[in-house]
Amino acid sequence: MRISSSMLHERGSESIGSSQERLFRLQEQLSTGKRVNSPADDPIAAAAGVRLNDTIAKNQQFLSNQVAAKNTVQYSEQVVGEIGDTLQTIRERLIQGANGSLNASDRRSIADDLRSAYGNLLALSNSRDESGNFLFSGGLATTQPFVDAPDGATYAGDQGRRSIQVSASRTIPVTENGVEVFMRVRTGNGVFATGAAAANTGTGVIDQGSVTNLSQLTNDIYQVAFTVTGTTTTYDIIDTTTATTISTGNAYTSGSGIQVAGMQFSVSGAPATGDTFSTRPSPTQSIFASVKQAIAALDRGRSLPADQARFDTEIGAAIGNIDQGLERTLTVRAQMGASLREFESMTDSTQGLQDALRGELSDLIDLDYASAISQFMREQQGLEAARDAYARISQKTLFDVI
Amino acid sequence: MSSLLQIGSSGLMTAQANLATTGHNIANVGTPGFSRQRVEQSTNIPQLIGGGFIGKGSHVTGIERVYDDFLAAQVREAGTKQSATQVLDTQIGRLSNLLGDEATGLSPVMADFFASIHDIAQHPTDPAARSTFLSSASTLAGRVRDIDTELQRLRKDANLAISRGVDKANTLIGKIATLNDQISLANNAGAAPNDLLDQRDQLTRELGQVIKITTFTLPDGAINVFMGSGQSLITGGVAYQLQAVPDPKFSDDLSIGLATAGAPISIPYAAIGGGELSGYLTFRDSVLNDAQNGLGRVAQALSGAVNEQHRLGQDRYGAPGGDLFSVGAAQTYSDTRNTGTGSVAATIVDSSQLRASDYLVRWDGANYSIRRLSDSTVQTFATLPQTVDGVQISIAGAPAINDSFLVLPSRYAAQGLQVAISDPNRIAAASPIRTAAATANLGNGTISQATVIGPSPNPNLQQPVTLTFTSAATFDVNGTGTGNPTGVAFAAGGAITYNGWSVRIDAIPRAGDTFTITSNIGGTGDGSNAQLLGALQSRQVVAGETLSGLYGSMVADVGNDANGATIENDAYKRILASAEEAHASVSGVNLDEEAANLLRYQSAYQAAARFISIAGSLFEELLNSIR
Repeated sequence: MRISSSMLHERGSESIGSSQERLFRLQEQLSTGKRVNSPADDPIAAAAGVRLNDTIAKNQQFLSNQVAAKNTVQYSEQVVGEIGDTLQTIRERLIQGANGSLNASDRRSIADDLRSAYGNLLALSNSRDESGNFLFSGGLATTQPFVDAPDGATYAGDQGRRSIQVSASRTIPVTENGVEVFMRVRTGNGVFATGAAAANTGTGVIDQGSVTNLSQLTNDIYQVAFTVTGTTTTYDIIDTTTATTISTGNAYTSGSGIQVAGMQFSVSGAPATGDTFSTRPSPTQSIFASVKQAIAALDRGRSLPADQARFDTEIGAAIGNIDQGLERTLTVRAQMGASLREFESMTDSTQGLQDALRGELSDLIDLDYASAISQFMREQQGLEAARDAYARISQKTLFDVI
Repeated sequence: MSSLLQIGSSGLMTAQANLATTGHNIANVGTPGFSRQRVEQSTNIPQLIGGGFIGKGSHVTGIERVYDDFLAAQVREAGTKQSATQVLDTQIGRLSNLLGDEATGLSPVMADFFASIHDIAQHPTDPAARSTFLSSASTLAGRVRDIDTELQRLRKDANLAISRGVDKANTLIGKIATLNDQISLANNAGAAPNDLLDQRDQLTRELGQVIKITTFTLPDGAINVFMGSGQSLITGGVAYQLQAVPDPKFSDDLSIGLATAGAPISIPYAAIGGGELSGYLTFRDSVLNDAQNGLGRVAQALSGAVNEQHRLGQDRYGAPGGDLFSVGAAQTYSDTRNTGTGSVAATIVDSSQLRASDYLVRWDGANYSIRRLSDSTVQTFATLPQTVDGVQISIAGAPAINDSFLVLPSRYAAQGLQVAISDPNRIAAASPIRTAAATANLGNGTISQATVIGPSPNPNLQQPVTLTFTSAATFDVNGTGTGNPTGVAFAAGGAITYNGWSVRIDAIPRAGDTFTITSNIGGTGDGSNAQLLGALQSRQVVAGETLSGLYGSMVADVGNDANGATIENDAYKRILASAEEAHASVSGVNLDEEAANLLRYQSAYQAAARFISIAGSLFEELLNSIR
């Protein structure tokens, strides 16, 4: 083939140019450390890179959400723990107070202790988080949730829960509202509550009772009415909701169990004729009301013989109510503990996923230095050869020798 | 004796002509388009003397350029294709670098935007979190606008390049026509004007790099030049002019027309066929349109999804959320050739249905055909308004038959993306309603947070509603807007939906238990709507893609285009190079060859001169012998 001189020069400079261009690309890759510097370099890897980066950013967000959630739950858990401790103290003092051998001043001092514990409880219930929001006010973050009232503090928050999205599919509540922790506490034994009529004149005291058969439970109110004939004490059981008499003339032995509709409770002491005791499905009552009732009972005392039975019944009920409150805090704490464990395993798995994604992204986008450097050296040699060849070819013409 | 001198001088003249031509070739070794020339020489008519013919020397019959029409046409055609792919490669490369750069791309600001929503969800009362969110929303909107501005700049550049290309073509057309005149004059005078032909070939080749042409050589040596579509650009010495005119369909862009005495004749895009002009047109009309529509659709999907969720929330003033983003509206253009009075309007009714395409609406006298330009799918309707791919297209006035209208749903969306609120307290982070279980409930039923059902909030959304259980399996509903049904069957965990909200009650409630759904005014610590806004990051908002996936696939499309353009351009570069090599191997000047020729003709010249001197001395000899 005939070669024209200008083509010789053109091709020579062209091959040098294209070799330089490849060197430039390699140099760009080496300096950025990335194989894909523009989508055109590898459209598929670049598109996958955009998606991976997006997922990594989302996971990073979830990781930081998990940390925030963990901190909030830990703090809530700590406060609920302190509430439990306070309730425990109240319970211990109440058990001391129940002791019949105490004198009036001992009871007053216990009542005073309970008042201060009540104050402590109220302060804990109005705890704020690190941003100054009330912990237990639900969605009404800036509203003080608990305001003291004569019958126990009332709740001004709502029943919302603050929650945090901790993974693409999981949103976890990180606070508990005041209703759940303090307000909606079943009284009595948590299923039914027992009580003595205020007008009772005997010394009969009813205990908290227990459930013997869940399937027989009804929502009805039952009354146990006592009759004393000479030395014989008998009682009738009446379902007051349906106004039906269940049984009559049952022989009474102090402290022996009375069973009705899957419930069992006992009356001890000596009830008088006309004394009545009742059971009904546990209503809900706030912990504050329960503590206030205990204080009121202690204040009233048991100096008068007629008051003794009432005192024993009320203190017994109060201890039961505080137990229910304690159980509530334990449940809430357990839930929070479960959340904390979930966060931990979630953080581990998210972090693992994050590492895997980063690795995948790096495989796609990042440069294999060893091969890039060796390619760079090869290309450089190629460029030198192209230069040499061009210089030699263009240096000599026939004109040099004629 | 004088014939000896004649023979000698004829040789001298021929050698001189050869030397001159060799010199000319050497002088033009660098002239673009130059074809090496060769002296055609032949023997003079011999003289019959007695028994035979005696040669009478040589003479030059012509100077020819070494040239192959076929190879030259191949170079021109390869050039036409390569200059189109070169333009595409360069322009898409610019676009790809712009979109793919992490610092200038959309991904990091999109991630920041969602991170700041999560911050609000966690700290709804924190004014700093709210302000940060607004500023990251502004940054996101600003970045979208910045990218669009760059795309617009590329469009402006393309239009400018088209008008420059037309000017360049016109200059070349004029020059070729002038050369045509000179060449036919010279041809008529009897000799081929080699250098003029080379010049014209070079100009034709340059014209071919601007626009696809075909040529036809006339007997007088002049050429007629036609565009790919057959329209005449040059007929002999008459030149026609191209014109860059506003596109009749879309007056913001330039299209190419052929100047006439009246209105310019518009040349359809397909007729351009190749060259720079077709490169710029292809880049502008497919790649850039797609990119701008794609980016616009990202803006529309973002504002559509975010606004819809934001409107379902409640701000710190207790008012329902408004739009968080505003976005550029859909635009329509009437074809400037329309004769009717109709004008088309378009509005986006469902951003999740958008297809990132332009639409051409045409009235054929009985039906409106709506063509989606991205895939040429046509839908036909007897009346407007109609909704196509989430775009409602309506018409006012009466169109004439064959009137057409261009609808651009997404093109200007990105440019108009703005944050619509400036007061951080107006961010609707809270849910507008809250749920509660009565404290006195004896059952263990729990009520979930209410989900507000979109797309727009129910007017009775915030009306207080009470659900009262009449047994463990039935409940009554009481509240404005619910119709107060009684004895509704209850399934634990099933959705209970009234007034545009939905709640779930789990576990077993007892008769007499009540649950309430009320307005959440004052619920400042509630970040549940912010949480739902944050969840949009993972939601497939349009065409099965998340917001950043949408952007990612748009970037991938451009990357694919760029990659394809580079590969194609490299291929055409090779084809052009080999065509050029083939052409140069015939027509190009080789200096070594010319040096050899120089020696050869120098020797011929020296020999002829020597011959004359010998003839002279022979003559002298003869004279001396007579003396």
